[in-house]
Amino acid sequence: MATNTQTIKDTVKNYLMTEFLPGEDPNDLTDTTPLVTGGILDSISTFKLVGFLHSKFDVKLNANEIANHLNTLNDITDIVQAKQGVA
Amino acid sequence: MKSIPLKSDVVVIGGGPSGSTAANALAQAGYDVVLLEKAKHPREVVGESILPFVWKYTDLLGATKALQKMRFMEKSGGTTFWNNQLTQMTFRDFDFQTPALHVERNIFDDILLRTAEQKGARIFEEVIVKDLQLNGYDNQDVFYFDTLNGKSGKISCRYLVDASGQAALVAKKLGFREYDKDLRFMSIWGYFKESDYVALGGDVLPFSQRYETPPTTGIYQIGEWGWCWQIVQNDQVSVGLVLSPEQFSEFKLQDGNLEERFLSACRKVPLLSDMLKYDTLIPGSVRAIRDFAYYPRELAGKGWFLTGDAAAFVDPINSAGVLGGFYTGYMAAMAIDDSLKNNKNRDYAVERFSELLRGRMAVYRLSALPVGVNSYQEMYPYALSCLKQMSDLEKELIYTQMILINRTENLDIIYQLDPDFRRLTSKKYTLLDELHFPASSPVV
Repeated sequence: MATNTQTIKDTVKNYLMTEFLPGEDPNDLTDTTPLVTGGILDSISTFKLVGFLHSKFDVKLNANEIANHLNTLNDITDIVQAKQGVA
Repeated sequence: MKSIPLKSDVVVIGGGPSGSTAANALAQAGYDVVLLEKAKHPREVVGESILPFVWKYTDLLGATKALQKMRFMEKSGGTTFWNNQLTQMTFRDFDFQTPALHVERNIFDDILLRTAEQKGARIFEEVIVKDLQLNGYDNQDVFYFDTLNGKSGKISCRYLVDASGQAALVAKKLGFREYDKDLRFMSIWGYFKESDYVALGGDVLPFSQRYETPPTTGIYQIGEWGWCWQIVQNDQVSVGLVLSPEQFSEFKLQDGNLEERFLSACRKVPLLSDMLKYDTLIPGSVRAIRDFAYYPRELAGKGWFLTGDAAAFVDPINSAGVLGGFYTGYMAAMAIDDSLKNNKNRDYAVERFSELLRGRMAVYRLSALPVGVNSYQEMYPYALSCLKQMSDLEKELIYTQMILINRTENLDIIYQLDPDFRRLTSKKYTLLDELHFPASSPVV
C-alpha cells in the first residue's frame, strides 16, 4: 500500500529520533542531514533501520540500495516511495 | 546444580567472543537464551591482538568496565617488516579515543562470557554439542553431551546461533563449507616470558619498559608467503609463525621436538630473531594447528545464523578476528530480534544478515589475502555495501593495514568498487630505515 511523502518522512524521522538520537533536538535532524557519512547510522543501526522500513512500508532494499540510498531523510523517503511504486 | 532446560528461545553454541556477544545482546533484549560451551572458562585460545573498534561493542554489552579493570597491555600501533621494508603505523594518527590491546584471551573471553551471564543468558560449560537438527523456523534441536553429569540430552529452540569457531558445526552438518585450496597454512605459536619489542619510531626496548613506552604489534614476513607475529602482553610475549605448506614441510624436517623446531624457526626470522630471549620460552606453551581459509556457501538460514570463525576464517594478519566475532555476533542478535518481533521480517533478516557478512568477508579477504585468491567476484556488490557503511576511520585503518602488509594489488579492486575509498587514503604510516637496537645495531 502506498504511503504519502510526508507520512513516510515523519515516520522515519520519528524512528531515527527514538532509536538513534534519543534526547537530541528533532530540529537538528533535517531532510538533508547526512546520516551515514555523518556517523548517525553505522552498520548496526542501518541494519535496524532497513528492518524497520520493511516491517512498516513493506519494502525490501537490496545491497546496492542500502549502500546508496539511505544517507538522508529525503533519500530514504525517495527510495521507499520508489519501491512502493509511487511516482 | 542448574540443569540445561528442554527449550529456549535461542541456543548459542560456543562461548568465545561472538557467542557471548550474541547471547548477551539477546538476553538484554529479553529473550530466553541458553549458551553451550565445550570448555570450562577461562580457557586457552590464540588471537591476542585487539583493534580499538571493539569498545563500541563492549559498551553495548556492558563489558567495558570489567575489561578496563584488567589493565590489558595497550599497544601503540603496528610495525611490519615486509619486502625488506620497515613500516609503522600508530593508532594515535587515527584519532581513536579508545586503546588497541594485547590481551590474555583466556581472561578477555571469560569476562565476556560472565557478562553475558549477568545480562541473563544461561551459560552451561563443559557441554559438548554432538548433533543438530535444523527443521525450519522455530524448530531447531540441539543434541549434547553434558560432561559434568555424563548425560546426553536435547534442547529445542526457535533460533540457533552457531558460534562454535573452527569446529563450524552447522556448516559441517549441512556440508557447505568451502575451503580455499590455495590458502592452506600452518600456525605454530608459543609464549616467551619476555622479549625486546619495537616501540614507535623504531626503538627496540627491553620488556621491562613496556608500560612506560607501549609496544607495537610486530609482523615480520617469512620468505615469499609466510609471516610471524610478536605480541607483547602483560606477563608474556606471544610469538607465532604462519607458514605455507611448503614452509611447514621444511619446518617438519628440522631436528628436535616441536619446541626446538619452533625456536630454530624463530631464529631465522629477520629482526625478530634479535629481539627474542630464547631461554625464556615457557615450557609446554608451543602449539601448532593446520588452518584453512574457508567460508560457507550459506551464512544463515531458516532459524540459524553463523557467527565468528564458524562463519568464516581468513588470515589472522590484520587482527580483525575478535572484532569480526563481536560484529557478527551482534548482527546475528539483531537479526534474531527482528525475526522474533516480526514474523514477516524473518526471511528478509536472513537475507540481510547474509549480505552483510558476505560484504564484510569480501572486504577482509581483499585486505588480507594475496592477490589471485580473491576470485569471489559474486561477493563484490556486498563488499561495496559494506564499504559504504564503514566510517572513514575504519576505511583508513584497512587501507593502512594493506600498505603495511603489502596487499596493495587489491586496492585497485577496492577503488573500482568504491571510488570514494581513494579520497580517504591519507598517508598514516611511516617508512623506517632501520630499528634502533640499544647496543650493537643490526642494519636493515
